[in-house]
Amino acid sequence: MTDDLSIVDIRKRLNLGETSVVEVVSRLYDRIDAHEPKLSTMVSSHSRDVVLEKAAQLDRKKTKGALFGIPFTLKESYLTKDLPTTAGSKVLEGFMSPYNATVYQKLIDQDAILIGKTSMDAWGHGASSENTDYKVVLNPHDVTRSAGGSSGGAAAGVTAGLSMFAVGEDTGGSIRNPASWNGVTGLKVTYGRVSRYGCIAYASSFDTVGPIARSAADCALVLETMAGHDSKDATCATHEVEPYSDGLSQSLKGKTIGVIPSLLDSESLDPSVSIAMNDALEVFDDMGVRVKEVDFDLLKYGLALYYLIAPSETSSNLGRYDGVRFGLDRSYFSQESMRRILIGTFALSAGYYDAYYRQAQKVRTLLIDAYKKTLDECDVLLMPVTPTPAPKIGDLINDPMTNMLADYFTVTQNPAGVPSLAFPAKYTTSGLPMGLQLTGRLFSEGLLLNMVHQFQQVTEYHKVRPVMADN
Amino acid sequence: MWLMLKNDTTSQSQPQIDVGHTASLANLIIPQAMKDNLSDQLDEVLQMVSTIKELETEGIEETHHAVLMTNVWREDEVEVDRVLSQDEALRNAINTYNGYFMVPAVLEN
Repeated sequence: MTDDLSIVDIRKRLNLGETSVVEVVSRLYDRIDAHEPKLSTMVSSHSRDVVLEKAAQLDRKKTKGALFGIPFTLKESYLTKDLPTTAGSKVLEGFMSPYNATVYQKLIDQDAILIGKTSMDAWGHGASSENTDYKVVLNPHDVTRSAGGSSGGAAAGVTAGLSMFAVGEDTGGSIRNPASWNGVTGLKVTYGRVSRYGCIAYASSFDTVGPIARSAADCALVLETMAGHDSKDATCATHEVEPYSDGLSQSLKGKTIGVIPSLLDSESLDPSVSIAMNDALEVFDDMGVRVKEVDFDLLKYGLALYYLIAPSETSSNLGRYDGVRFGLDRSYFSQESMRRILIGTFALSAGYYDAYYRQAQKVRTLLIDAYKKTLDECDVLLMPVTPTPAPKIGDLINDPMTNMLADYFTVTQNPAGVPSLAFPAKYTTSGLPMGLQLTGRLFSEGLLLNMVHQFQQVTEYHKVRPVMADN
Repeated sequence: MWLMLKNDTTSQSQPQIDVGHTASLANLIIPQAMKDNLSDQLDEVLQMVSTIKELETEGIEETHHAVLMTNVWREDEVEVDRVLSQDEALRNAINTYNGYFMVPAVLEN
């Protein structure tokens, strides 16, 4: 049985000949047939026959890549030659890219197998994957609830066992939010750690490409393949890629976790968040990690900063969708996307640029300095990911302000470029997953993965699978 | 961590977003039915983001990219494997003519 194995375990079994890629893929497609029609995690996918043929080819290969035989999905914002790319919007319905995103090419070069393209909030604009012109993805833990966003389909597919890992994209929480609400592990990398070539841009100075998987160990394995310099992306870091898997078992004794007490003061915070934080700190304390209270007052301006710069950058990036070289015309943008374009255009317009956009970019400098100072006092920060567990379908998309407030804890890491790893840390009494995140210094993915892996060695939250009825 | 707040933000009144004008800058046509609803929602968002003006930023440089890189060059050579054929370039366009993209008319005469 390969259903509940990690990527690490499946690789081992494949290498030992205890299973085959054909078997792994067959069982995966049994689960897809059983659950995908209800959950709608994917906008497009390869048929079972196509993927089985690929699996059979791989089984005949003599040399095996680092992700040999591992089935995965890509968010709909990544360009692929073999499946359409829509970014969740009708504007790009049926668009077939003439080239592959670098991250996709790197993964298939290491023999991973693409299953399909996952559902998302159009252009990344949202925190619930409901701002889509296609079917709304449902949360496998409770199908009346949102799977989060904007990488909702990616995270839902991983938790439901419809892929072994997914590539999401995080601009202000779009990997971490759905990871939290689906009970999986999702990594927002340091800006530039993974190439954005072939990634449809939301906010070009915030966007990051990252893995979503069932554990930190699985994320580490995937990141080793995804990360690294790409000459086709001029913002891609030249920083060396560590062997992340090798560092997972290092002792955490002497490390310091910073916590920000003022973050937990709000009345709009669900009680499960504080419980998750306290319980997690106890686990880390048992491992010899010190906990230190730190101040970070600037965080309360994070939403204002994010909702000025991100819409400004998106208003520029989405300017190319005019229906001339590709896609339909601009009347096909959703109301949420139009809202963001308008806010951004306003912030950049004559008479308002200095007070809004320029001011936000200055505050961004303050935020980067604040992160540097705070992360001098501790190795990592532990924070919530979302103020509440997954809301009901309709709660966020029908209320723009509540939609924005869901991003409160995840919008400051992207302007500062720092990495952050979301991991399952609690289940509510009604069975909903709640995640937390560890935020670190630039290029500290190794430490974040190490710490969460150690947490996952002594807890079972990442092993919980949703109970799903067959169709 | 101390934040420097500006002394006087109360006297700054909040502007209203002119949806029609902003939409024309953004090359968007907003259906009339959507305009009023959008206007209220935009005002609400603007009220929230306007809190950014509370912070004192005199003498602070802007940051446009958090992980600074400068002068990222590549060789001035054609990367043959990245060149699109004419067919590939035109394939996704709805309106083409003799190997050209068709564009909406800019001039009326």
